[in-house]
Amino acid sequence: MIIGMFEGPGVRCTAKSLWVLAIGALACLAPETASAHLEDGALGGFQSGFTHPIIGVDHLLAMLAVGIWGAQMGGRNVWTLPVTFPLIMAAGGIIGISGIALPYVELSIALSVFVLGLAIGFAWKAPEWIALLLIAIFAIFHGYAHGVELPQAVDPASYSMGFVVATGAIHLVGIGIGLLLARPWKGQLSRLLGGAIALTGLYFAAGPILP
Amino acid sequence: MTRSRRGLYAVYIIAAIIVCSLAAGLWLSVPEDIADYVNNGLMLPVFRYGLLFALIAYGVILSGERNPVLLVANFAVFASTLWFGLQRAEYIVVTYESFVDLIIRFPVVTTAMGMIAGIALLFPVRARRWLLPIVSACYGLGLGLFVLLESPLDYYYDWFAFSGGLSGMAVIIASIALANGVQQICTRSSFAIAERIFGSWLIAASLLLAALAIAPQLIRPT
Repeated sequence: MIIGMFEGPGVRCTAKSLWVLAIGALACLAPETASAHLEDGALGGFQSGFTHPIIGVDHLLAMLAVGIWGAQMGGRNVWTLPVTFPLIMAAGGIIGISGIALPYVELSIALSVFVLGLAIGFAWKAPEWIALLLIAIFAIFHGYAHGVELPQAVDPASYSMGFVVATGAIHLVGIGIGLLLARPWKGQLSRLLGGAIALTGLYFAAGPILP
Repeated sequence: MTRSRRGLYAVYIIAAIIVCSLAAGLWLSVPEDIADYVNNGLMLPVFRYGLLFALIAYGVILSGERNPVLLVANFAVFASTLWFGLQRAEYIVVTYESFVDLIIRFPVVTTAMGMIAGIALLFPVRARRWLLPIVSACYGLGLGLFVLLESPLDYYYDWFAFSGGLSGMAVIIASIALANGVQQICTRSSFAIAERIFGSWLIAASLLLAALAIAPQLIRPT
């Protein structure tokens, strides 16, 4: 069965291959989520880095949203968005490692969840360069948040490897969700999910302001 | 089953038989007192995440090559540069150490391997065919260097090097077979998405490792 949500030069995925991708990516995440809340005190190695983007709901939603938005836009965006994110995130991580202070990091991360959620909610077919620019700006702040913690890790190399791999796995899950939800009810489900993500982002952004 | 696919399966089976025979030969001939060094060599790619991911990536890149002759040729380039690396890596290390601090040498090798594989994975499969010989040569040399830098003592180096190189090859062959298995289930386009995301992981992780390794002075005191 071919899910024909992307025609012409875009992506053609069979339902079976989508399930394989989604289950594979979830399998990467599953063993780690069970021990996700054990992380107190010093940061460890690979496992600690791997769990970091998963236990942080703001990070998790933003990265899922990148995958879903890319899948929703279709064509090349399915992979250009999730590929750009970790690359620019690494640049943000380097800024964090070097100790350069970035302002409004938490607010920017919350805004990224809000904006990406809105983009999915309104099924915004942004021009590719605008979408990539948005992703790049948000990725810097996400990478910075990880990078600041990196030097404190017991094994920084394994920690960075872990969080980059987790980020990629979350993107894959996001793409899987986006592709699976694109067909039923003409994509309304993914738009609804986008709305929920945007509301969560708004909650995170308003958190420091509200009493 | 097409002719090229039959040829590819034959290549995988022959490669697996060779690696298994070498491993069996190694186990039968290893003296008891140095069995631990052989074990450490065999487990080397398993406990070094950077190396493991880099080797898996190389396997994924090789799996895109549908021509059995070119696949074998590229693997031969890898094997010969690996042999050269294991034999001559000492000279490279001496030169290398005059430039770079000893402490940072381990991540630099895997960083370079990860970066090369990551960039290659971002290219379309057809373009990768031209990059493969370079990637294979870099990987052989890189694995050779890595094994040398991780080896315990000069006396046991040969055993450690042989088992390390062998397990590296086993990881690559397993990755090729696994990637081909996944490609049977997935469409080409969905596999290409996963490949590119994997490539971007590797580049991002390599950039961070490079930042941590090459510029340790950037890290703030904690």
